[in-house]
Amino acid sequence: MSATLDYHYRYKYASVLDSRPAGKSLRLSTFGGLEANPYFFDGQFKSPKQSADILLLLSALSRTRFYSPAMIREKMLAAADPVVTCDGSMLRFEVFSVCCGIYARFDLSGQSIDGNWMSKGTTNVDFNPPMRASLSTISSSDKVRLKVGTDAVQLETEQKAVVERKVKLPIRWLRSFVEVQSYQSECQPVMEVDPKELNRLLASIPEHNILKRGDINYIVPNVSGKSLRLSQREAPASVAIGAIGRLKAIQPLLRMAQSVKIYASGSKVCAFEFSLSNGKFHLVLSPDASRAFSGEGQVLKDLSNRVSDNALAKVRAALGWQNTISAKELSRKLDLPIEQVDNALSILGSRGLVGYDMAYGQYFHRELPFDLSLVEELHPRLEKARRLVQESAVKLLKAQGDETIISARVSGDNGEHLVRLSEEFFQCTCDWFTKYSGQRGPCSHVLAVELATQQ
Amino acid sequence: MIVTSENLNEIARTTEKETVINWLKEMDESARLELSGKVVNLIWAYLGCFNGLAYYTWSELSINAYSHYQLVNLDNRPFSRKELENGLEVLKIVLVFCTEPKAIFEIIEYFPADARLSADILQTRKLKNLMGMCKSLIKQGHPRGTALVRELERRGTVKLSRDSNYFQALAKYISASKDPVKAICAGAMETNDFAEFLFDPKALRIFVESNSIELVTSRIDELVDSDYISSESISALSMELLARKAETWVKADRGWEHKSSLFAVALNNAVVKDKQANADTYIALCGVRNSFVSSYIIDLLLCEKVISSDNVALISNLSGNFASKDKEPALLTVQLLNSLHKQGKISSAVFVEKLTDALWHKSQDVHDLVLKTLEKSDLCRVAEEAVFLSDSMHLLKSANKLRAKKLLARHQVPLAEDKVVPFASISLPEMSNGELDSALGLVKIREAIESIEKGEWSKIDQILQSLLSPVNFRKVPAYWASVREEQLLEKDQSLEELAHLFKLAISNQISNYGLESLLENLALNWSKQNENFQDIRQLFKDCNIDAGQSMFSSSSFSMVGVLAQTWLEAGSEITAKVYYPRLISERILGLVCRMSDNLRLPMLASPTHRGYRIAPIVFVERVLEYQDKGRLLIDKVADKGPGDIFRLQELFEFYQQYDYAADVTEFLLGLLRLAIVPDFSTDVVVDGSAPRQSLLNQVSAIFRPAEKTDDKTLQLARSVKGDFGRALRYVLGEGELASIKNWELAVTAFRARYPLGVLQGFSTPVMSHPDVASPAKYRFTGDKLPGFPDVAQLMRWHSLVEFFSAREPGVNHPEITVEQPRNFIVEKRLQWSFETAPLLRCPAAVPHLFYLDTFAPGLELFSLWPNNQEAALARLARIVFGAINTTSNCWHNDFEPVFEEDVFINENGAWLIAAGSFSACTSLRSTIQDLLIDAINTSRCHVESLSEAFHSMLRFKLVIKRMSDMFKQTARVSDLHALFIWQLASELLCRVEPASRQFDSLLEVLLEIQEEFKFVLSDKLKELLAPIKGSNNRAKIASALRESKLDWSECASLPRACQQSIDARLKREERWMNSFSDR
Repeated sequence: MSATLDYHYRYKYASVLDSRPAGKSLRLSTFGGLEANPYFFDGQFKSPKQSADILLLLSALSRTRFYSPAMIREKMLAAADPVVTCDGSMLRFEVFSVCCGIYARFDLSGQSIDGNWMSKGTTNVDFNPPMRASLSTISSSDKVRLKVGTDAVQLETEQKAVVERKVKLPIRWLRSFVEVQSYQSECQPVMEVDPKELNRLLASIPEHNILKRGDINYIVPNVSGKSLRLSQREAPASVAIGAIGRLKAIQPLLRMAQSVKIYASGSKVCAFEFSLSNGKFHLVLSPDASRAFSGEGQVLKDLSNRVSDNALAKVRAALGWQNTISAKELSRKLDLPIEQVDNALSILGSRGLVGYDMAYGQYFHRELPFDLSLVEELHPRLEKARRLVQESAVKLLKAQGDETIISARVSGDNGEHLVRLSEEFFQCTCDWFTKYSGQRGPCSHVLAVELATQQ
Repeated sequence: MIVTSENLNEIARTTEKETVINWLKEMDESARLELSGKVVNLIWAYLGCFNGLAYYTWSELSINAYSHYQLVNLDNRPFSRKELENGLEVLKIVLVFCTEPKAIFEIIEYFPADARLSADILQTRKLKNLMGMCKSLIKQGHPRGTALVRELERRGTVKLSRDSNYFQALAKYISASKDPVKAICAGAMETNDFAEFLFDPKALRIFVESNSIELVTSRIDELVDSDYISSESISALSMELLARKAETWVKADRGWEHKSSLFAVALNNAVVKDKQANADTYIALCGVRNSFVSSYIIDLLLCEKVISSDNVALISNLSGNFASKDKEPALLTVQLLNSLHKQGKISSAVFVEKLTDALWHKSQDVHDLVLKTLEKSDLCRVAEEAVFLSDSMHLLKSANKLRAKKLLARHQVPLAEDKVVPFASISLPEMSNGELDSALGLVKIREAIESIEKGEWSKIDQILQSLLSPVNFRKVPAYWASVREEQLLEKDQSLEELAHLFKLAISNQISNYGLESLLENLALNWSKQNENFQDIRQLFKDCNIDAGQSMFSSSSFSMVGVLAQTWLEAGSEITAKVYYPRLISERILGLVCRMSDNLRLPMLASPTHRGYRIAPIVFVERVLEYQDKGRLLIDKVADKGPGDIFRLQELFEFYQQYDYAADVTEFLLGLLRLAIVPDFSTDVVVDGSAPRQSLLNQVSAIFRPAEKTDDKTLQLARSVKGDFGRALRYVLGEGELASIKNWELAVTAFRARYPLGVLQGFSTPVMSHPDVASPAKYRFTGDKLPGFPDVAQLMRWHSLVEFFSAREPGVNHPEITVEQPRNFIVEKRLQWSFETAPLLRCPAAVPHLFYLDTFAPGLELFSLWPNNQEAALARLARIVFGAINTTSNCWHNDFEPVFEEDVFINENGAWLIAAGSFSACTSLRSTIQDLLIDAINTSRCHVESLSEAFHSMLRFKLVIKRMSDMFKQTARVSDLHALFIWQLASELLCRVEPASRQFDSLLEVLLEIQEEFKFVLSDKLKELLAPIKGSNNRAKIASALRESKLDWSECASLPRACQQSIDARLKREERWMNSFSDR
């Protein structure tokens, strides 16, 4: 069983969809972040039905487990509530599936909601079952008011309706939150497709095969460029996708989407950006149903990277709930080399302080409302690597031939291992690396060599 | 009277139970407990006698009953039935008196039927741990135990918590009673517990499965009549139960979820008398995931048992049914929407919008109903509303799409049309090389375009044929195998890489190329003496030698262990055994021998390029290096092959004695992997025993001058001495076969040069094997097998597939019967096991003998002999065919070479595609679809051979949808693919039975292609479809196809397909022109 964090949601009231003669009002209760119960927004939905449907879908995703290892089937972990970030111009709702293999974010644009932006920040919002049920009754003709949080006066009057929920948040859920930023920043747009075509593609996947493990498919554009097909082989401009059946969960979204942009990364993580009339919906899929983002370890290199404390502090201080952070601009403003700013941002991402928006190819400020000191501590590989360096278990070998390649012997638990490391690749003779061939990030021995060379 | 073990039998026979109860009450607890062992035995004996009595007369008492009878009938006094019955009752009472509470649950079935009596006795005994006993009884769930617990609860002696176990025990108890309603009313369950009982899934399951849904619902209804529970309460409970089931997706006819949903619905229907009172709840639940619940509610709405006051909420919720996996609620929703529209409760705009939503449902039946509704309502007359439908055309298929188009056409809604590109705009290349252009098919395409430009559409069949004809470079005299710069393998020959590769090999994670790289790296680096090397060697030794040694138990990987051992502990004895001689064992042992001779020589057969090809000049240089070191020189061959030597040490000693034996496998494999000019002529027959001059004449007739290939290579090869040199030069195109003395060198050299040639005149035992004297040929002979009507049955005789496909010409196979194949295979396998060792001298034959001549996961059939395309394709087809009903496969690596542009997909390739397209394995089907797409892309497959192979497969009972889906998806790739599939489906349609499912599927494929690409049906097909009349789907599609007023001159896809075909051919030509590099 994975480690968990006891998290105590303490909402002042239960989120609710009120039906009043003047119209409906969706009041989302908040908890956590810079304030205990922040108040972000009060306004009107322009397309209530669509927004409600997407919030419902988001909530459904956060409660779905696409992969259940036999060991924990009986002990299903509770789903965590969505995290909302308000930057004064849009609302970003972020969730993870229970298995941590799917990350979804709905960016509700400012143009689709009329109202007042009360404050900025990141918080949890309560998505309770009765509210979810009533969300489904919203129709296009309804007038629906949206409130994220409530002002202090109103809170006073509603003091008695405190909603408390203690959940055991899996640490891997937290780790996934920081890991996914690293993957998103690697993703590059590959194709833009018609939602109808994507729907046709999903309809062609047999029901019995939807969550087959270890199955990598490629989405390939046909010659005309208008249609898509699934392939077992990589082709030019194709996108690798593991356990494609997981995509079926977003089929309802395809009816609302105007276009779909597909992103891919070298590590077989793929992402989808659905353009909607009221914002954008992002979906990021891990390389396989059984592979949660938490176990991937892509972020480990960032965590082991050394950026000067001064640069990190400067970049951190420059964060002010921007919805896009331009590294170039920041570098000019802070008088820092752009590489340092990039590195600092990826470190801040790995600490849960910024998220990544693929649509703009830039980070945005978002501080996860959890105790993030745990995140770094709970990376066992990094912890072990630090221990190995402390114990002087790393012995660097003389460079032979190519001097850009560092070779080292590392004494591990099961004997010594040979590590090779360069800018482009890393290699180790330990069992873990042999099993995954680097697909799940560097092993502790590689990280130890990296740390040792930095010293 | 004291009851003891000794007098218990007698007392039971003779004493009334009331008397015994009094006696037992007077005894102390410890005396009573002493009876426990005896009483159970006696009960069994009495029951045995009783059962004997029930079925037999005394005279024919069964043996079983008789043995019990002997046990209890101590004084040979016959039992009467009354005595037995009384005795049994007495013993049951004694049992209650004398059993420890903690053991009661084990023997509760022998307790008296009257729970009150047992409870009385237990209370008399004043037991302390009654609570524990009750919990055990509830957990065990025997109705008699539950009755006892309920009785004790009624008396206030114990009080158990109402958990799931409790309700399950209650369910069993109530179900076991003759009249459950009476049992419930008589106190089996308190009214307060009823709700929890109903919501406990396991308890409810026991209750419903022990009875029937109808019975249970009617009995619950009776409970209302008998005032056990109020009508309001049960109604509320039933609504609650319905809501609890709402979000569960239920697969029809599968398990309890299905049944429990039916129960929830049936109960609700039976007990909720005033449905309108619960209208709000029903409306909230009308689009839920559980199709039974939503269908039930929509039914209520349709029958107007529930009338919605809030239509907006209703409509909004109903949308959920179109996202449902099941069609039933979606169909009912369409009906309900129609009814609401007719009643004027929803506007036409909302109605059409919702109907369009319904088209997102995947069921064709739903689409059918939507179209019917639209046709009847005539809604598409309004332009804005018709737009909804025209925007959703992509969701419709076959006949439904036709109808939608008709509907829109009736209301003059225009659909987007493609612009026709003039043929004149097609760019044709300059024709330069007659033979090459002809092989590329460009000459015919030019003629076709000329015909089109002249408007000779009557020649359309020839035109299409020329566009789709495959490129066949085999007919071009100077055909080169594919060795291109970008295919050059990048090799990292560092020691660190060696350590990494060893680790991968030991962990069974290494690829075939990785293993080749490992061998090559070790062969070159094993004796390097520098600081790093010693360091790494020591490190590797420290952490991996154990792993290496542990592999000695596994036959396939033991050789990597041997290699590690030799490298790390030079001079140690090789302890492993080889169970099957394999090429890899031979190669590794050869390397080990060279290492023991302190020679650092490259692996001769290590590929230099992808596709396991070796640049000829590199091979020649390697051979010369060997000869410089005194290897590959001695033409000394052992009289006897290593044959049945299974101990590696002995084999090693044998190889050390004969250098030839140690290096020859590597050399032969190298010859087969040479990137040379193979000759695929099928009529090459060479007599190996003919006089020298005559042989030369024969060869000259088919000889292609070597200078056209690579002068430098041949010049260098002339320095290679002995038989090895002669064999090598023969492969490169120079010299005579008869001059090669060793038969294995001669045979392999001949086969490498002429993959399809026939070699006569050699008489060795292995000549009869495929790809030795004659090329391997595979034939599908399924029609000759009596008693195998379908593939599923055929698969039960798994080994049969091995037999019927592996037929080599010139070998007399016994006639096959249903009984024979198994014996035949056994004989054949035995024979092979003796013959495999000499066969390793003919590596060309190896792929035909073992599927996996494995040394690493996923051996590629092409890795041994890249030019051996035909046999490898046939082997792949056989493997796919043999596993057609298997849902998983691990042969993805095997398919990689098939995607090479030089692999011609002819008859065997067609078999592979046809068999694979019916495979139950989705990923395999997808791979095969990729192959078909790629083969059309590169113009290397043939409509005719594919149609023949598909037709043969269609004789079996296979899932046609798999094939038709593949056709449809392939057709959407491009205009050329669509044209190819159009022709393929047309050919197949002419071959299959007109009234079959296959016919219907193919019609749908044709219709879908015609809809999108506007291809015109051939006259032959029009004639075929002419007699199909009627109103069913087949007739509708046939008539749509037949009567479509399409014309090839207006088909926009044809010129595009034509351009694609030309471009593909030009790409092949470009590749062909650049397909040679020195190394």
